Amino acid sequence: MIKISELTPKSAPLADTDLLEIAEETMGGFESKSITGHEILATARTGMQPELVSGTSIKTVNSTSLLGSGDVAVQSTLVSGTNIKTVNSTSLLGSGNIAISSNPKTLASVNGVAVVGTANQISASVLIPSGTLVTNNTIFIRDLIVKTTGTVTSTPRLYINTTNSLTGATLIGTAGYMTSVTQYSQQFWRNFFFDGTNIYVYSSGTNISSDLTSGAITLVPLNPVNDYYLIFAIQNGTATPDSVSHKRVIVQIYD
Amino acid sequence: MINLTTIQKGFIMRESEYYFEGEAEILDETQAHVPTDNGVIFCDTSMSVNEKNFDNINDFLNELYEQ
Repeated sequence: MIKISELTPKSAPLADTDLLEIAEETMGGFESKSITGHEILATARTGMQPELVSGTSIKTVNSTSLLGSGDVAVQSTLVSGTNIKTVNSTSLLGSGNIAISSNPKTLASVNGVAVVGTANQISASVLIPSGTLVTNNTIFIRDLIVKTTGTVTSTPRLYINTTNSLTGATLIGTAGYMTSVTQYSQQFWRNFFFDGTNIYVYSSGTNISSDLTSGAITLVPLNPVNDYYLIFAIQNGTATPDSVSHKRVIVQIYD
Repeated sequence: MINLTTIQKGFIMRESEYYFEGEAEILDETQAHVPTDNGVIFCDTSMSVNEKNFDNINDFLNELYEQ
């Protein structure tokens, strides 16, 4: 009889076809029993994790396999003010919200086109989308008007309409006349308070650059569920050479 | 096209009523400002009055203010 510990060492791993045999003595002689290498390996593998296959049974990081040795390159830890900027010296790291002031909100900043000809024509327009205005908002207009040629009277105007058209629009402001070379530029400023139903319009037909003085008020209906267009128009006194534009139009909404 | 339907001392535009608050200001041969209780309305001859079309703003305003 040979003990298992006395068996000759194998020079190769256990193979499926290997056969381990034993002989057990019985009354009539002996009984031979055996187990194959495949049966031994199958029993040993029961309950073991299957071999990992990159992209199949284990995910990748940016298409890089996680198998093998060494580090996978990842983004460095964020350090406020070092590799991630701050907002007004407040760190962006961590959970929660950072409140950013939205008052006033700039709705638009546009350049108008030059207008020639004696008809009242659009130089620039700005859409106020539906739902933008709420009760107690104020629309603030800052508008640089420039005349490049001509010495006859030009009249810049501001309208509001539900379409981007002068037809059917309501006049809500008239800037100062622009005539000679000494009146080739003006700042046109207007504030329109919205009470939920109307905007308060300061002396719409009076030629004046700003509403920073006292004057009559007209209530112009405005339903905030509709789109509205602020329309910046020009009318010249002569067909040529007068040329005027709402050079730069800034529209802001104040809470 | 926008149509203005005249009513007593005013007109209806886009289902809203407007009542005159003064004489119209003619801007050029096809355009005018019409003062109303809802502000000064820009009108031109692309609009019709009582479904009538006009070539010049004087005829347009005559029809508009006729009531």
